[in-house]
Amino acid sequence: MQHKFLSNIQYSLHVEINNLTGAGIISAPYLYQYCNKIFYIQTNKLPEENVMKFSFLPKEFQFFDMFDKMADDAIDAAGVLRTLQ
Amino acid sequence: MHIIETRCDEVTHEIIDKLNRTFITPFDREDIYALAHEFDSVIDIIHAMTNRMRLYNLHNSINKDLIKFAELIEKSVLCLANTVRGLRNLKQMKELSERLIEINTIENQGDQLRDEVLGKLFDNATDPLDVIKWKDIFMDAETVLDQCEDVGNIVEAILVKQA
Repeated sequence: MQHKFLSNIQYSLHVEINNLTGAGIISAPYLYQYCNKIFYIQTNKLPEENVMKFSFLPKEFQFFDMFDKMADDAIDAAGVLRTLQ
Repeated sequence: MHIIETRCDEVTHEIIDKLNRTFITPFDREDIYALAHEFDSVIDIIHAMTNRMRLYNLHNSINKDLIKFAELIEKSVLCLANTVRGLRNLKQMKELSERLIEINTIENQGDQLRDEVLGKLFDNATDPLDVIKWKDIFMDAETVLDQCEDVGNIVEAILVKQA
C-alpha cells in the first residue's frame, strides 16, 4: 500500500517540494512529515510509520563526517588544555 | 592549539559551504548551521583560554583548581563529541538524551567549582595581579562548560524535531 502511494506521489512530490519550501530546500524530517500528511489526505489513515524513508545519500553523510571531525578537534583541544596543567 | 583551532574553522566553513549547496539535509538547515557555529565556539574559547595563560605567563604554573576545571572540560567535551557522533543514529535517542543530561550536570558542577575557587582566590591570594589573572582563567574555563551546554541544547532541539 505504501509503495503504491509512493509511486503515485513521486511526480507531485518533486513539484510540491519547490512550492512548499520556496527556495527549493528541505530537510529530511520535514520531507517525512510532508509525505505522511499527503498519505493521510489520500487514504484518510494515519501511517503506522513514516511512509517515505530513505537512507541518507553520501552527500548528506558528509555533514556527519564533518561533525565527526569537529568532535575530534574538540577532544584534541580539551587534551591540550589538560596537558598545560 | 592554534593548528586545531584553524582546522576546526576550516571544517565550519566547509559545513556552511556544503549547506548552501545541499538540497536535502539530514536536519533543519538552521540547526546544522547553529551546531557547526556553536561547536566551533567551544574550541575557540579553549584556544582563547590557552592563549591567555601564555600571555599571563601561567602556562607553566600548576594550579590544582585549574586541574579540576580541565578534568571537567575534558569530560564534558568527550560527552559532547559522543553525542554529536550519535546524531548519525537517532535510534539511540535515549542514550543521546542521557549524555545531554550529563553535559548539563557537568556544567552545574563547573558553576559550583567556579564559585568555590573564586572565593578561595579572593580569600587567600596576596598579589592582586594574581587575582586578576587567575580570575580571568577560571571564568574562561567555566565559559567552555557553558558553551558545551549550549551545543547540547542545539542537539536537544534536533532530537525533539526528529522524535
